[in-house]
Formats: sequence, C-alpha cells, structure tokens
Amino acid sequence: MASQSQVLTLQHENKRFFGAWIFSTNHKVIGINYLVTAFFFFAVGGIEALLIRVQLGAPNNTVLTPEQYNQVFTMHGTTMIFLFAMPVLVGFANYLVPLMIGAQDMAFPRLNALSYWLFLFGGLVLYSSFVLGGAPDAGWFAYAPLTTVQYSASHGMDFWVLGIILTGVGSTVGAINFVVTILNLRAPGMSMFRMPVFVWMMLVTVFIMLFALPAVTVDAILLFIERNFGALFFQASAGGDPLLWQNLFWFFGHPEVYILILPAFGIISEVIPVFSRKPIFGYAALVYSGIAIGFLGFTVWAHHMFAVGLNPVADAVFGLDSMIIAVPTSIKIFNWIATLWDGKINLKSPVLYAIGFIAMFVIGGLSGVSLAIVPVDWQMEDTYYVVAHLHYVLFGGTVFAVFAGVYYWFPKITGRLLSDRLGKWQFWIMLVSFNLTFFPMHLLGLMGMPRRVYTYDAGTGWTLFNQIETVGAFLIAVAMLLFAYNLIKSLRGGEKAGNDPWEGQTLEWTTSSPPPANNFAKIPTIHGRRPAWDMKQKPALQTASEQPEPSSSVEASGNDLAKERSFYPTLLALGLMVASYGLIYTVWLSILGLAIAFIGIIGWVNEPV
Amino acid sequence: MATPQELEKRHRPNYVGVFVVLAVLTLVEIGVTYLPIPRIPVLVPLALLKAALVAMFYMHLRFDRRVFTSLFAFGILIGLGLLISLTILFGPTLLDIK
Amino acid sequence: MSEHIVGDQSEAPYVRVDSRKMAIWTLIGSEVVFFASLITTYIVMRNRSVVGPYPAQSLDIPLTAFNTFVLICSSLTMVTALANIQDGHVAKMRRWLIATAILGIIFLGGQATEFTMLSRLGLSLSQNLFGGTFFTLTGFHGAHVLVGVIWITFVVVRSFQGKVTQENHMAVELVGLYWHFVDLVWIIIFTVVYLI
Repeated sequence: MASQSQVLTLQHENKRFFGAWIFSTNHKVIGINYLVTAFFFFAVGGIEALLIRVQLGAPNNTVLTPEQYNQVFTMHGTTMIFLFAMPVLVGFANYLVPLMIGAQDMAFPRLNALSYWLFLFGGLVLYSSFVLGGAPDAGWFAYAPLTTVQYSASHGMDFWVLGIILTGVGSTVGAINFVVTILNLRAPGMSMFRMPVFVWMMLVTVFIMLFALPAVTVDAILLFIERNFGALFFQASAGGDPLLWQNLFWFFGHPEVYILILPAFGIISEVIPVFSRKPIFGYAALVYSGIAIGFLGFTVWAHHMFAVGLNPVADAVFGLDSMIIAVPTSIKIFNWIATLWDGKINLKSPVLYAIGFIAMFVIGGLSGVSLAIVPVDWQMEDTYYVVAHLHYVLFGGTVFAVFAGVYYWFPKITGRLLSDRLGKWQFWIMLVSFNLTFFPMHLLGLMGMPRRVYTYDAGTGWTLFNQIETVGAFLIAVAMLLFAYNLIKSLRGGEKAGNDPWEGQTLEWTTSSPPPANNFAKIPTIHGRRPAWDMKQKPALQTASEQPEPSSSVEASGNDLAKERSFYPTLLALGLMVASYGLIYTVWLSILGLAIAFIGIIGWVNEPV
Repeated sequence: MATPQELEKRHRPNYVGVFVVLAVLTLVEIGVTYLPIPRIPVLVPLALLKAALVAMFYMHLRFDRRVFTSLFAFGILIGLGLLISLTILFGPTLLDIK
Repeated sequence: MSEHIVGDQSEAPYVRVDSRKMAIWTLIGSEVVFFASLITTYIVMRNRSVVGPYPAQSLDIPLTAFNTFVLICSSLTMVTALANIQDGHVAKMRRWLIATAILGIIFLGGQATEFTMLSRLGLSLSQNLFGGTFFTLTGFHGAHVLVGVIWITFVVVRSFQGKVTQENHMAVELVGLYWHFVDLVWIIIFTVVYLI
C-alpha cells in the first residue's frame, strides 16, 4: 500500500521531522503522543506505588517519613487518574475514533493538539511541585480543611489546583472535539446505531467529562481562593462547611470513575467479538447500558460520603442508586460472555486481557456493591477494603483493558505485531501478581487496617498480608518490565502486521498499518455495523459511485484539515502554564502568560486554514 | 431548497418584542421585591422564563437543530440536579435571611 | 453551507450542522454546570456568615437593576448585529457589535462600582461567606463578560479585514451565542443574588 511512502511524504513535506511530529495536528500523531506520555506517567505512578509498598512492607518502617509518604500516595493517585488513565484512554480514542467513523481527522485538529499540550503541561506543573516546596500531600481528593493553608502550608495544594484546572481545561476542550467529531463527521451510512461500541462509549464518556469537570473546577477554584485570599468556604467556625468541598468534589469524582471505565468497556467490546469471530452480542443493550451508566453516574456521588453524617434519607437514596447502577454494568458483562459463548476463540493476548478484565472487574464490582450497603460502608470506609475495591476496578478493569487495547491496536499503529508469547507471559504474571497485591487488601480492610497511614505496628497482625502485597507489587513491576521489553523488541523487529492481522470488524482494519496521513483516500459508505467484515465478504458493495468526495463538505462544515501542523496550540498552552505559575508566585508572570496565550490565540485565528 | 440566508430570515423572531418582554419582566421582578409576597415561588419562574426567552429567541434554539437544545438541556439537567440536591443537603441554614 | 447527506436508503438522511456551532453549544452546556456550581455554592453558603456585612443590607438593587437592563440591551444589539450581517450589511453589523461591546464595558463599570461600594462596607473575599461566595460568583461572571468584550473586538477587527461576510458570518453567530449565554447567566444571578 502507499502508506510507507505517505508517511515518508509527511516527513519530507515537513523538513524537520521532530518539528513535524511535535507540532502535528494529525489525530494519529496526537493519539500516539497521548499514549506515550500517559505510559510515562504510568511508570512514574508505578514507582510511587512501589515506594508505598516498600514503606508498608514492614511494620514501623522508616523508608519514608510521614510527610514524604503523604506526598507519595497523593501523587500516586493523582498521577494514575489524571495523568495516566484518562489520557491513555483519550489517546486510544484520538487515534481510533476518526478511523472508526470513517473520518479523516477530528473536527478540530488544532484544538486536539491543544488538549494534548494542556495535559502535558498540567502534568509538568503538578510534578514541578516536588522541587518547588513539596508535592500535594492531602490525598488525590484533597479534602478541605486539611488542604487549607493552616494545615497544608507548602504550595503543594496550589500546584494540585493548577494541575487539575489545566488538565481539566484540556479534557473539556478535547471532549468538545469528540462530541462534534462523533456527531458530525461520520461517514455516509454510519448512523449512530452502526457506530462501533467503542465510539459510543467515548461519546458517553466525553459527555460525562463536560458535565462533571466543572464541579471540580469550581471546587478547586474555591480552594485556591481560600488558600490565597483568605476565604472561609470550608471553615466551620466561620459558618463554612467541609462538606461543601466533599459534595462538589464527589459530584465530579464519581462520574470521573465512569470516565475511567466506559472507554475500557468500549475497548473490551471491540476486542471480544473479533477474537470470538462473531458479532458482538446485544449491541443495543451495550449502547443503552452505557448511556444509563453515564446518566446514573451523576446520581450516586454521596456514596463516598456515607460516613460524614448525612441524614438517613440521603444515605438510603444514594445507597439504593449505587446498587441500581450495578444493573447496566452487569448487562454488559453478560453481553461479553454471550459473545464469547460458542465463539471460535482465537486465544491471543488481546482477548486474554479482555477475559482477565471481565473476571477482575466483576470482583471489583462486587466489592463496590457491598460498599453500597450503608452500614457495611460505615465499617469499611477509609480501610484497605476500599483500596482493594478501587484497584480491582481501576487496575483489574481499566489497566487490563488498556493492555488488551495495546496488544490489539499496536499492529495498526506501528505496522508490527507485539510478541504474543511475551504478551501471554506478561498477562499471567500480571494476573497473578495483581491478585497477590490487591486481594489481601480486602482482608486487611476487614481486619481494620486504615488507608493512608504511613505505617502500622507489629502487633496488629497486618504484617503478613502487607509483605505479600509488597512482593506482589514488585512482581507487577516485573510484568511491566516484560511489557517494556516486548514493546522495544517489537518496534525494532516485530513481525509485520499487514492491514488486518486479527480479521477485525471495524473500519480501522480496512486501512494500511499504519494508516495513511488522511486515513481514507475516499470516504467509504457504510452498510452495517461491521464495515471491515462487509468489505471483505462483499467487495462489490464498495463501488466508486457510492463514495462522495469528502473534502469540500468537510471544509464547508468549518474544519481546518488543510494544515497538518501548528505551533499555536502549543503556544497557547504554554501561556496558560506560565500564567498558572503566576497565580502562585507573582501576578507579573500571569500577565506574561496571558500575553503569550493571547499571541497564541491571534496566531491560531489568523493561520490560513 | 431555500438558501441558508433565506432560511435564516424566515425564522427571524421579533427581537425588539422579546427585548420589551424581558425588560418588563425585569421590572416585575424588582416590583415583587417591594411587595409582601413570597419571593422564591414568583421570582424563580420569572427568571427561568426570561432565560428561556433569551435561549429560544436570541440564541435561536426555537428554530435551530434539536441537537443544540439537547446539548443545552443536558447541562441544565445536571446543573439543576446539583443545585437542588445540594440545597436539600445543606437545607436547614438556607433561608435565614440576614 | 452545502448540505451533506449521511446515510443510505435504509434510514433517514442526517444533514450535518456547522461543526463550530455545535462546538460552542457543547461549551455552553459545560459552562451551564460551571455556573450552576458557583450559584449553588452561593446559595448554600451566603446565609451562613457569622459576621456582617449581610446581603440584605449591602446589596444595591437599583444599580444592579440598571446593570441587568444594560446587559439585556446588549443582547438586543448583538442579535441586531447578526440580523444585519445575515442581510449583508457589514458596516451596520459592525456598529451594532461595537454597541454591544460598549454596553458590556458599561456593565463591567457597573460591576466595578458595585464592588467598590461593597468593599467600602467592609465586604471582601475573606470577610465572611457572603463576601467569599458573592465575589467569586460575580467575579467569574464578570470575567466571562470581559472575555466576551474582547471576543467581540476580535470579530470587529476581522470585519475590517473583510473576513466577515453575508456568506461567511459564523464568527458573529458564535460570539453572539456566547454573549447571550453570559447574559442568561446574569439573569439567573440577578434573581438569585439580589432579589431573593
């Protein structure tokens, strides 16, 4: 196929390849940027996890001081959620959504680039805190008044606020891009109910982002104003209320976990049918349950607050709702199992991770539903039982799904296959080590070990499980090193993948691996839910007369595809980053930052489209 | 098929008329604060009505594609949900007007 | 804008809308929740102040009523500007846009006056909860108005460069939608903060 020459053409057209890459507005390049950066933060967050496990590996340990421990576990959570999980899923979405809907790029390529830069710079601002007086140390959920100046004197929490706001703006802007792209740029014939399930899950996810992020943005703003301008929102003595923080935070925080899992559901929904060599079972049910989860996710937030003294009616309502939300989730589990059932399973790494996902996520879901029972939650709140639950759904769930996606789409992105043998080794090591690390936490929680404590006494009886967990954590690291080795080895000389190594069903498998710069020379016309399958079985359907030329209509709806790179999104993001530092240090920096941002905007608006 | 411009003209509401209604409603709202009648049940619907007029006619939602109204409506649904639930949760001290 | 039909014979064709318009409405949807969060914070906190100044004694309804009126006028001028460019009158559109911006600046001036009056009464972000929530809410709204004024100026400048025409005036629609939204938020704020 012409792909190699087209990639080379891209390189030649943009004389300095690095410049072409780094300022590219092509969704595939941006997608890769997201994936690579997210995995970098995954490693950082993983090291933070290992530090935690080393500290907890023995009673009364002194590897980390309490203050250091607080920073480490805060950054571990913040990094994994905001700098790994969200971006890695958005990275997949960025790469795949335009391909899956038959578009040539996102609706707003430069806005797409801006999202990425805001993510990167937000992460850098957050991490700069380590060398600028101390990282945030009050948990990823930053409860006030612990986070007010009285109890958190360093600038750590201010950096937390800025990191949240910068990355949050990036996510919001990205969400707008996905909404418009998915609603507006689908190929002819791709009605909403012919879109891949992954695209549907991303659509619901970005809607959740749009309506949940503002609450935490406001919360973070309130905290910043309290810390830096002496406001009293969270001071009980002045009439304020710590619950204001908690309510606004969890109003975002709960939908956030659905942001973290719905795209994972989407990945699983793509992998399982392909490796079962059947269509997905219950497409409509998967779509509707996804929408239901998206909506219901906004109605359960106070289940994170059962132990604060809400009135019994509130407890009951939120408890009930939290149980109800298990229903649409279960529907998905049944659909996936039904897809596997009687399928001619092609047992390669991707589907192995998908099956692992189902098993681990169900365990996490069960511990979650148990926590929905209010009196149980009163006992389990702030114990390791909750830590177990969240890791089963976020690691056993999201991370397993991410690896399923990596093994599945790596060939499409790079043109080479990852070693399946190494992939299977990684899977089994990861499955065993993951359970070794996190299963005992259920028991520790039941035995009363609180979370967020930097050490424990020898007499508690918690030592053995903690030791097991620490060993498990290092074994997870081994699995990750194996993955890194697989990655490098396969990039260098892995087996060539060809267009469609897995006999996929969705449109990305009809292009070369990697796809050409503009994805499709001619936008295909869609006749069903499995266009790649259709094209293979019934090539006669794709006649030239059915393919309208794409570019004029795309331009008419206001897209800026003509330029594949731009420096202005980076400049704008840079300006916002500088302005953020100004909020902590001096207003002159903010003015400078805003000026830079302004120049970025003017350049952007005036760039020839 | 009409040109986009012709379509836009056909759907042009009486902007000045809407303005007059908005101004009058504002005066009514202010007037209500001088009367000994409960404020919330009267003022909130009035404010919502004004907002609806701006949205439907100035922002053209009444005549535009339904998807725009949906995008707006979802936001309102969530925002209103937040407002109402927190008002209930923080209930007791809400109305001690000082 | 040309129509582009999506869909084959088996289902109703879907005609694409302008991507930028869809984007601005998506942004507005999100901003609704942003302001709802700020308004909610104001509502649940403002009467919990332990010390004064308190709302009933401090808030100046006549001044803010005038400000409300100014903003409502500005929505009218904005929509008139749009009607003019839809009819092809670039110069008239420009005048109405400038009028809108001026009204916006008057509004901001009114806000500045009010903030000054209130701070003379002793109200501030740190004085009490009323001050904290009031200034945060109205401050962010004012910032949005300022952004709107700057945006309008951008569009006026572009119209001088010949980039705003009868066939291609999406820029005016977009800034208009944003501007009306900011007015709409103020309508709610005015009622919630000043009247109730």
